[in-house]
Amino acid sequence: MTNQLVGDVYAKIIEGVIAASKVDFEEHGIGQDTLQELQQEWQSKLSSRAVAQMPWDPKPAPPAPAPAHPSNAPNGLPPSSYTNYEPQPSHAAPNGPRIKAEPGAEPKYNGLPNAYQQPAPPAQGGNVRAQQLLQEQYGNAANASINAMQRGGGGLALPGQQQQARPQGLQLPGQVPQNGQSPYSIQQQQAPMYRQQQHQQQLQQQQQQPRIKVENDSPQLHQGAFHQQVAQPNYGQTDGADDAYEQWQEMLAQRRAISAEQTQQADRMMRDQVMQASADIQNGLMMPLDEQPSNKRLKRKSVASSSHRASSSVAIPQMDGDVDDEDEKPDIKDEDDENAINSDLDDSDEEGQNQMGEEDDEFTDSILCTYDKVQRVKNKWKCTLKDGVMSANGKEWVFHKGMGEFEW
Amino acid sequence: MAQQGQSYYELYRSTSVGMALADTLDDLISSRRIEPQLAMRIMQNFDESIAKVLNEKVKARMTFKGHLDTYRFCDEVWTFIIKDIHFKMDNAHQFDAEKIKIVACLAKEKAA
Repeated sequence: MTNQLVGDVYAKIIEGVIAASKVDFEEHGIGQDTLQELQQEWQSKLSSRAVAQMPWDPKPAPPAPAPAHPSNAPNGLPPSSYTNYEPQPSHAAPNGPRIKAEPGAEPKYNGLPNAYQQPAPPAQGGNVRAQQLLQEQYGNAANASINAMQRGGGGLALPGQQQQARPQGLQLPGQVPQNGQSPYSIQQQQAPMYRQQQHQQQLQQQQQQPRIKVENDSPQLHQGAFHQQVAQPNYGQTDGADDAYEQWQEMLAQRRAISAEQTQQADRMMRDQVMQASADIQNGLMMPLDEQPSNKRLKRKSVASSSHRASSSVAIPQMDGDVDDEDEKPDIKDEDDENAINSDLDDSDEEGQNQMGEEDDEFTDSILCTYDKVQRVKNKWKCTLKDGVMSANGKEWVFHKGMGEFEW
Repeated sequence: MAQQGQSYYELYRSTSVGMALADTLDDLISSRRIEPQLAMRIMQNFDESIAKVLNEKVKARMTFKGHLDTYRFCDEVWTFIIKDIHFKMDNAHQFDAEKIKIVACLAKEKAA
């Protein structure tokens, strides 16, 4: 059995579980999107274990389990807020002056400068959806704009259309001026656009019915305009900035690791010097024998000031000449203790990791299976295993039947 | 399914695919997206699904030889720890492993 087939088997397992869990999710009142998320998360976690080549790995979308759940495709719902937003602007473009297709959406203000450029680029699937939506909403009248979209390749990419489109795009929240707020500030422009996206979503879902609902929603949304206005541009920017942020975090982590290492090296170097110095003192090599008694006397006189020295470990090397064994030792011990704490921590961490690693190795090399029969003659064993999953050397295999012979 | 009178071993939950599922479910539970009962139900679905797929879809065979270090038989579950083990897969792929642990439950005859 090659490793490649393991991925196919796992894909089938995932598919089976997801299909079987559909009913359970419904019974628990959990949406299907959570189930899809579960599947994707499961696959990515499995991929990260790198036990086999998974069929969904080479492509961004999982191809094998996808047929069972078409809505799981990456062109599905998530980007809809953007794509729904697009058809409206491009619709207005070729038809020049506003079309009164939606009575409630008649604009209350025109020609506002487009200070705000939506940064999110339209997805390819989004364009298709946008065109479909246009077709649904306006029928043949939308043909021109669909053509324009196809030529442009992206609704928002064309500045000319964009300029004309923007007032049209702002129509829907246009009920807000009825609340006496017609002079829009730039921030207020952005907030209605966000509302419009939401509104477009509603439109799509409810087939243009919720016009009344929009009026109800608008004031509330407008009160929250600053949150939304902040969130909206940030959303667009984080798409671009996220990569940089990750890179930054990565770089930062590396830098911190390096600097921590350097700090440890420096600490060790200092400690070595101190230890060397103390060893010299203890050997007595640095002092003539006849001076030692006098040193002791000196030392006892200076006991009063030893508290200063003890408190500042940096001063130890300079004290070496003056200090004799008895007084030096406590200082050195302090130094040792400090280092001992650090080194103990470091060592135990490393040891712990090693131990964990060894345990992991032990437990990852395993066969989980069922057995048909196990026979023994003296110390010779024979067993017939079935339906096994074997994990060895970081890879996994599956087998239908396995014969084993081993002696005890 | 349990309702049909057939239960499935939970043994395969400690495979990588089972662990990945458990991790994912754990994340969903801790973010309060699903209830633990539902997660248990999904794990049962997993037990069933992996047993069926292994039984029906996998045809591969393999043999191995080695030195039995430890054996245990308890509650119809064999546990072997085999050292210096040599595997032969049916596509002539061979490899060695230093030590491997085998956990084997009694194979159930497929319900007719």
